[in-house]
Amino acid sequence: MSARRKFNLKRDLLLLKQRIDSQSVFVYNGGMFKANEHLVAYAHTVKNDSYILDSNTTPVYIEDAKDFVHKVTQKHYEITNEYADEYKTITT
Amino acid sequence: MSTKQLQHKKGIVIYNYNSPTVNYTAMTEKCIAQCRLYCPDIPIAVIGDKVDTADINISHPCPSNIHNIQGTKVWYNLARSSVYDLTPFETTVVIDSDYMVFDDCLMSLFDSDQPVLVHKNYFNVLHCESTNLQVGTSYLPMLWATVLKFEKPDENVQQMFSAWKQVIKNYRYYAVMWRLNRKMIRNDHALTIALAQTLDFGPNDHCVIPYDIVTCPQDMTVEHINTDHIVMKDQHGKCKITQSCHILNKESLVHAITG
Repeated sequence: MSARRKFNLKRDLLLLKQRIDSQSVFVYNGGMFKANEHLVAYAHTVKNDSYILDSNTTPVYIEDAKDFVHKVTQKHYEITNEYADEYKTITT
Repeated sequence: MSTKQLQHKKGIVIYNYNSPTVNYTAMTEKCIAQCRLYCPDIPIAVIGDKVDTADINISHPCPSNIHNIQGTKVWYNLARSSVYDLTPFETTVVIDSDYMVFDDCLMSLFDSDQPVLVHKNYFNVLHCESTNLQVGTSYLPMLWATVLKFEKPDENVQQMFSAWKQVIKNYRYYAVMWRLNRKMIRNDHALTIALAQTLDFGPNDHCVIPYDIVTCPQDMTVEHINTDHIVMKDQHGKCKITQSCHILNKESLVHAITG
């Protein structure tokens, strides 16, 4: 693989990562969250009627923890699938 | 768009002042077309020179400024701090006309409860790195005025915009204080200083958009632009970008838009 090809591959993958990073942001009850693997794991520990910190370390009230988990996992799988598809296109 | 829709609480504002060297209206028209695609039903107001495709046109005088990027040129960037007074919306996202929208990320800014949101980190497409800039020689990280969300009415936001106007008005003083290029007034610097003053130089993390602004520097030229992607070119070759990005080489952007 040529140096130019390597650089372009690296750039395309980094741009994809940037795209997925921005797409993973969603708003819940006024707070901004990133639907990454950390939030997916953390969301399952959140209880009804409690506060959690969003990406900007602002407290956000979670009334229905089940609904929050559903939103986080749905968004996470959506962007992970998109990442997988794009990744294949770039690397093949 | 109907009058009822125009009375929405939220909207996008774009500044448009044609300069002797750059056809900003062409850029603004493309920017509006992209916003219509990815942010449907969001009204768009243009401040400055009239654009037919905008929902609302707001005439406002703007003093000229000069920049020294690839030679000394005139540009009109000194009215940005008046957007708080001029916006017809309660929740406004003001974007540069060279910010090309290729995704719906702006929509999440409208839904956030934060009264002010701006980018701090940027992804440099040429150097493939995510980083931030400092204000002058200080350790104060620069905030980008390219995408700015704010709420109105809000006392603190109003205070920030008043401070922004003061920084622009007394830029020579601040340029010496912060060791800025006093020959080129940058809204990014003025906004950063204004927000820092408003927050009493405390943390501004709650005002930061939690992802990088993808930026194509001056050395990258626009090869072509479509509704869902833009192709940039540099010494490494071509690169296709499918997300919203800030294009610093305005001349090549206008060339790609107008053909």
